[in-house]
Amino acid sequence: MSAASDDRELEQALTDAAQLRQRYRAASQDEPPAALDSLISSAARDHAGRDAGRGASRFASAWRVPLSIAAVVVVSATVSILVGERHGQLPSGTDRSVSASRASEDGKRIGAGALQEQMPAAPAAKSQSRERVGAEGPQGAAPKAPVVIHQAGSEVRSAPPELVPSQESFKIQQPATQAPGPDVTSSVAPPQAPPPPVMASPSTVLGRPGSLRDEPQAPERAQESHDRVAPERPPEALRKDRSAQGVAPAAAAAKIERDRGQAESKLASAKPVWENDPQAWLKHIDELRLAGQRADANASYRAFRERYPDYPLPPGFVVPER
Amino acid sequence: MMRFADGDAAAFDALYSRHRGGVYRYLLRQCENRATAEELFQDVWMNLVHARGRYQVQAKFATYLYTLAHNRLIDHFRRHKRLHLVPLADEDADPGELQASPALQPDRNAQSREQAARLLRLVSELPEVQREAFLLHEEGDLSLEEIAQVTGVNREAVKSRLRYAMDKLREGMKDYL
Repeated sequence: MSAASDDRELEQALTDAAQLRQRYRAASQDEPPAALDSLISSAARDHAGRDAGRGASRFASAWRVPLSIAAVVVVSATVSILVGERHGQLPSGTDRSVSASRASEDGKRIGAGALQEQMPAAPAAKSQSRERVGAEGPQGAAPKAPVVIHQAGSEVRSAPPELVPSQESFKIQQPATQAPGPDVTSSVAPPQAPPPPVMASPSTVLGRPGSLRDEPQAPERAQESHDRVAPERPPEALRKDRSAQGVAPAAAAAKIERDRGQAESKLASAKPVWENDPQAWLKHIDELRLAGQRADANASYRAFRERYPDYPLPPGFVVPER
Repeated sequence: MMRFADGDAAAFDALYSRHRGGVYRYLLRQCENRATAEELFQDVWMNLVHARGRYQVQAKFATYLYTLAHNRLIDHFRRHKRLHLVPLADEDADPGELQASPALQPDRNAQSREQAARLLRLVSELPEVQREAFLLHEEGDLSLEEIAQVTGVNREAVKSRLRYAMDKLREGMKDYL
């Protein structure tokens, strides 16, 4: 007999027994006691509640470590960014980009001439040497004074490190510096080495006054640029910088204070009050000549003549000779 | 059952209310002792509660539940070395009074009560495997395949057992049908 016929036979038997099955179901009405129902239900409820809590704790324990790590990373990054912003100690890459952007803004506003306005006006800064600058380390963070470099009998005055934009700043500023005159790009060359760069050649600084100096009120704007490019930082921050470089904190702080004082005094004395006053300029030249600084006097006179070619010399003025 | 496995106690209540009568009657007809049936009934459901974390959907829930009941019954039989069926009529309670539904109360229809008692006695007198197949079919509403899965035999064996059970019951009830 095949399985299909067996199935049909069984179905027939069940159909025939429908009345029997109905009677059985009517007769079989036993139910478990209510006490047993409540006992089983309460046990199941307790078990479910206990395991529900265990499931939650299982979830929490599974995610505890990753969440903790993520929270620590987020909090650390946030705190470091906030502290860096508050103390002006952003990471070097960020710092450069920020200073570059700031310098770019300044360069667009005032051009490179504003920076160079500061440079010829530092006659008292002759004692500084390039070796001194190099000894300060590649960062050159501490010395803020303008540096005058003796070179082939003439002086090359470099701006203080704050006034000298970083290499990135130069790249950004180039279009702005080209605007005032065609010779600025070549004269204001970006530094190639980490030490504070020499801003310009003597001919650029002193011999081309018309290209970058004719802008009125340049010193004030240069000062503003000075503030923007490298805002003055409190001694505490400078001390932190030095300690971060591995220098002894006390010695570094003392050096920072000394350099800072020098820089401030030089900046104060570097006000080119005579620059826009021909008579004052001539008086300054005469003082240089009488002080025996004939090279300076001659260079300054040539710069004067380039700027004021037709200005009559006062009687008794002696043209300095080299 | 999956909801209950996730901690939903209300899901268990739904399952319990749906299957409590069938499982209880399946155990009661098999072990033929009310106290033992209650004990086994409780064990089955508690096993289900404790095993819910390991529950995997492989078949209908009723199949899983009656498999638990079947295994518990086998354990009980092995432990007590039951070799012969003890009919429910041997218990102290009157079978008719014990098994009759409210619709078949003695005062309403004495003949119906007698028929119910007779039918239940016939069920209890069935061979164990036939009775189990019949109870799983009637109380658990399981198909042949599901009964085969619960009892661990093939479908043809289940069909044969069920057919023999029906024949015997019909033969025993021919005076009332």
